[in-house]
Amino acid sequence: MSDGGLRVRGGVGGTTVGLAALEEASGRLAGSAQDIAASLARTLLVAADPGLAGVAPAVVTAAAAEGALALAVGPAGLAGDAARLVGLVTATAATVSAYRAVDAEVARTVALTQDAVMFVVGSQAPELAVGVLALEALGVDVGGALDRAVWEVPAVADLAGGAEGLVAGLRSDPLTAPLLTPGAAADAEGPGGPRTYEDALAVLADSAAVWGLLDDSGPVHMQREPAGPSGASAPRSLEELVRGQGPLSDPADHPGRIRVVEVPTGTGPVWLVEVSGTQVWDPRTGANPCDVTTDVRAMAQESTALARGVQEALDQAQAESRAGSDGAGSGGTGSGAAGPASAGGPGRDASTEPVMLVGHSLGGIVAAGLASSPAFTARHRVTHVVTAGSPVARMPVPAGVQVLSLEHHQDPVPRLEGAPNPDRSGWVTATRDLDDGRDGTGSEAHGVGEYAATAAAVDRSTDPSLVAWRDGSEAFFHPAEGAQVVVRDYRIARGAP
Amino acid sequence: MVGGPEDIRRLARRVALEAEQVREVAAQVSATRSVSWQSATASAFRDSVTLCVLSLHHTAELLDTAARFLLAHASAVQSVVDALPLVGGAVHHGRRRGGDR
Repeated sequence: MSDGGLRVRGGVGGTTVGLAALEEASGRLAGSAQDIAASLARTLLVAADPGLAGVAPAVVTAAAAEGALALAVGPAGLAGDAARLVGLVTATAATVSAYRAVDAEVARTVALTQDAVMFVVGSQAPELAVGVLALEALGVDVGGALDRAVWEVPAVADLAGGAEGLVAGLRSDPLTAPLLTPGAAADAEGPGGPRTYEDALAVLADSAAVWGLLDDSGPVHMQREPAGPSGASAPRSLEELVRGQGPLSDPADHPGRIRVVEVPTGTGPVWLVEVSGTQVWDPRTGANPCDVTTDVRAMAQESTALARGVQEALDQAQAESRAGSDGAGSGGTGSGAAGPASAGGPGRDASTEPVMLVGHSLGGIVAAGLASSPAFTARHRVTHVVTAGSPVARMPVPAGVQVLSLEHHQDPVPRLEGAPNPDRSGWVTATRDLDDGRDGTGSEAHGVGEYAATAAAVDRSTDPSLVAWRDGSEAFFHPAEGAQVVVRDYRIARGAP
Repeated sequence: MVGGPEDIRRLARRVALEAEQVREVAAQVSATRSVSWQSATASAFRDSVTLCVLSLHHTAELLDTAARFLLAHASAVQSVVDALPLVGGAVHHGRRRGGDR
């Protein structure tokens, strides 16, 4: 449904929940149809009772009673009601099945189409590369043209979902086939190419690693940083939370930055973990893990240095909180008083304290990946995930985690998996259409500023799915009165300390 | 076979009871409209349920009417039964008068 310029999918008002409710209602109607059929049978017995036969002076009243009974059991009465209820039950069941079948068929057809198109792209890769180089040589800004094209025709970005087809296409060309190295990832390939989207990304990333690109192997280290003056505060709304992603993702001021916010509540702390977006666009692997390498590896659902760093950061923040000590650099902010952030002490079990993982673009991919990681969720109770402009549809986030995904119709990035986010009670996707007649670009549509505006629309929305999500996440935005929020920043880097 | 007035009243009570049960079913059916899903499909479902509920209430009224007709019939039969001794007495009196002649 649409609300304040937002198109909302999933959540408590979503199709999946709606179909389940229809099914449940249909089951109750079936029971009612049985009740009416039983009533019909009993009333027919009355109508057929031989005691109703009229004696000469009462023959008129007998006929009138028999006529009234015939009307009550006929098509205008009980028989018609039973038929109508059965018809409604049948139609509802058929509708629910048709919905699900169409959804599955559409998804299958879209996936096949993406693979087919990307196979052609892969098999023609050398020619396409030459063409692009020729256009660049002629002064054509191919990148800029693509950026403008995805604003006009956003579905172009969906083709990236055909990564399996791309790998199969590259393998089919004698010029590009040798570039795809057989390795561990190649084990995931069947006779027709990679079996899944994630396998295909792994094949591409492993092949690039041979050339020193997209290589995420090696150690990671994490160090505490002073919470900077820019945005180092506790967000009081979704808009503030998303807007904070802007300064956090600044590569000059905050390279590899993770922010852990301890929000005290009446029943113990809850934790906001904010992960930076992509800061480095060079495919050559460097120290800053907020880069394209992590983008690709995280989308392939591999463990990444950045994700390991986030886990270490949260572990350390919770350990400090339990110990009741807060080291230098703490950006304590919040409700005025300077009381301790959290009750408890060394004996507190932090693994039961709710965690919300948040990120824009790459940050959202890592957030959803951590929520999907059994190793991470064994140590931390992830209850909420917020992604903004992140391709996370294929992430196996457990059903118990409440996910809110913000997307823009013209933003190509959340489309890169070529699949819509799941429509289920615990996953709400709010999509805003930015088309107001201007000539925009995909990059603009991906910007944090636009996403903060979308988050503000979510804050105001009356859509049932968004209202339910806000209600469920309230503790993260409303610290206990008089208690102090603690903001801890960390820098994650590849390599030895 | 002709039923006595009490038999017919019993049938009337059974039919009246069916009318109440149909109203209960109507209330159960009506409750399925509370599906909160906002969509064209859900709206169509709610509209169909509304039609079913209206029809069930109409059927309950038909059953009420049938029960009333049965009670009227029972009264008519009761009148016949009540009149039988008078008719019998008159016939007996007539026969006696005929025999006297």
